[in-house]
Amino acid sequence: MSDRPQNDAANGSGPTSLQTRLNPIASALTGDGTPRWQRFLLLGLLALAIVLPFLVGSNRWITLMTVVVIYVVLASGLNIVVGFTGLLDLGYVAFYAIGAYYTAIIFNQVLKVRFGVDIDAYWWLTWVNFLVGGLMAAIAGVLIGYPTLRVRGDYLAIMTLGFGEIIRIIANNWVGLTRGPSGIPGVPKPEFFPLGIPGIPKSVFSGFVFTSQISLYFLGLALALISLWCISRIVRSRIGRAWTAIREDEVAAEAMGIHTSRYKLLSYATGAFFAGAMGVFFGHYLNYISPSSFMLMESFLILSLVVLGGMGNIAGPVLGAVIWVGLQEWLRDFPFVQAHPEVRGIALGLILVLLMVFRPQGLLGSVRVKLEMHPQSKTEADHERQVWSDVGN
Amino acid sequence: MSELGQQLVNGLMIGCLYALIAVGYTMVYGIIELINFAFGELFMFGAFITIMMMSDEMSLFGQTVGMPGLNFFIAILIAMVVVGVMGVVIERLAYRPLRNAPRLAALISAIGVSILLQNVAQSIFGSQQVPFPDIPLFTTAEGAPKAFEVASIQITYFQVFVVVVTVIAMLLLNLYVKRTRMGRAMRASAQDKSTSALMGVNVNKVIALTFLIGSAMGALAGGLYGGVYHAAWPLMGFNPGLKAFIAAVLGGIGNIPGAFLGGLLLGVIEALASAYLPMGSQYRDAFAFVILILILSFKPSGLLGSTVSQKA
Repeated sequence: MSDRPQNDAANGSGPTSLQTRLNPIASALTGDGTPRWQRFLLLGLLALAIVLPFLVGSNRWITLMTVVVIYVVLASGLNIVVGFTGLLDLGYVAFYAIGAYYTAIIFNQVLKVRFGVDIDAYWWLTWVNFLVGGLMAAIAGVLIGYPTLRVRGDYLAIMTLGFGEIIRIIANNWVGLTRGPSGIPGVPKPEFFPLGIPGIPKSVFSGFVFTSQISLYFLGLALALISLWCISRIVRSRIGRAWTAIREDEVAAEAMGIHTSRYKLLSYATGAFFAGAMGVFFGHYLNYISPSSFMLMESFLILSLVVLGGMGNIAGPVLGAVIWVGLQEWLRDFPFVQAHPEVRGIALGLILVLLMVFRPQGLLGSVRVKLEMHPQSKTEADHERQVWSDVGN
Repeated sequence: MSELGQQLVNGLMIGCLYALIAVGYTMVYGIIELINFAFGELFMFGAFITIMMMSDEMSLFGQTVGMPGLNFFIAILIAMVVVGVMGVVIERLAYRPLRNAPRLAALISAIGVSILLQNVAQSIFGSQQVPFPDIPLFTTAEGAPKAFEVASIQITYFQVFVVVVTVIAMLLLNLYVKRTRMGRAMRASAQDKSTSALMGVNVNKVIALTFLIGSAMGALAGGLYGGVYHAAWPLMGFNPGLKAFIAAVLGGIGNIPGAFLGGLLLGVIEALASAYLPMGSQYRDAFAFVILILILSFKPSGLLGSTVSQKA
């Protein structure tokens, strides 16, 4: 069986090959079209993600890995909008904030403060909140995406940038709802097996609360796996192919009968959903929410992870998140970096510019994205000579 | 009545600064259809370089370095030239290689440049506010701004200066684009780059010039903004940059008088809204986006713009 590196995830609708049957887990995670080595990379990372917490056991490592898992989901969600649909979303962290604030407000501001309910009795709401928080973020995504449909896609960048700031301004100023800059403490920890398992006495499981770092980490990992599985299926479906068509040529896509407005809105909503759901996790994970977790820089960081790993590629954002968080942790011990925290921002900016100019498909780029991003690979001299094709639209 | 007048004066002045930055956005977007996020950061560099040129010494990279201590007017001109060149260099390195690529690539590159410049500024000038030196012409001996009163509205000389400079700059720019050969080349390139190139227009040169002018205007706005708020800081460019883009959209993107009108309107609306709406001052930065949503919903071509075609 030969490898099929040309296909990317959005294109993988061919017949199931032998190797796909041989590694069903990887194919479930990434889809048929992902090159084999990338699937094994993902499998390797997954194995590491499961085994490593037991090997190292230190809380610092587990916290670090939880951070990676959160960024994996955020970057994968943003990848739907930026990588697969080709639209720039610069306020992605706002959807994350919506999810986090939603669950914190429901538990603390509404149930506890308003109704005086013992929130520990309603811990099962957490599980509902993953969905509702995601849906609220999705609705917000549609609402801010809608005005940009009549103009070109790049207005979305400005709209989302502004929306991200507005959400933060509201979180800072609507003190009655969000407690302003001081944030909302005491978001409860989730519990496991809310309804028990039939046939097994409820008392065996219902007492399991996610209090230890390691149990929360595995909850996050499970959410990440579910998200990756969903995303890889969506982008291989008819919807995903429509998104890719919009990315490649919006006018042609429309001519082929794709309702571009509808699919763009669907893309914003889907991307936002995963951020919202992960925001709910973040709220329960930290037990504390404040506007300072949702700065603009976070949105840029998530975008950089997608670009670094490879846009339009399921494995890309995962690798991007692992590399970036790892790199940051490694750099943390250098005195120079400690004295100059802005080095981090300089690195982010450089990553974005250099990758766009020299390797727009990212580290794990698909050939398709590469061809799209640099349509004519010409030498610099050709560029100068052929002025008019250089400036042609 | 006098409070209303005061808000109008303040709004008008901020609006002028938005308009100056909006020129860059509108000209660049008009020709290469790129939202150059970096204009906000170039604006910030304009303020810092003006301060640098005016001071006797300044702390750079944590080291105190001697500075020329020039007059404000010369300092701001130097800032315009330096930042203009920065704009051209950015275009050459970060945008020109991507001219054939999808817009997403150039947009991501633009946001990268913006993040990069912001953090480089933090690295050079520190993350704290750097005070703006007093300008003798506009400051009394006690250090207070010179002002006069019309119908119990306080107007400082510096505010008048900002408005006058903006109006002159706008008029000159409009004349340049309408009357000169290069201006005609710009308008031609905005309509159709390939055909202009066939007619002998050096489109790359036109685009570089557009970046030069846009960045210099941004630097001018930055120097003035620093003078108004008596400080410069690395993140100062973010909000004015965004709002200037919104001003450009409001006036009609690609249209220089539109950028002026959009900037003034945005400044005035923002000043009035933050003064008279409940909680207005806290939500000051949100109004611009409400305006953007309204304009995109009802008149996407902007107030003075012609119809925007959805070119792919």
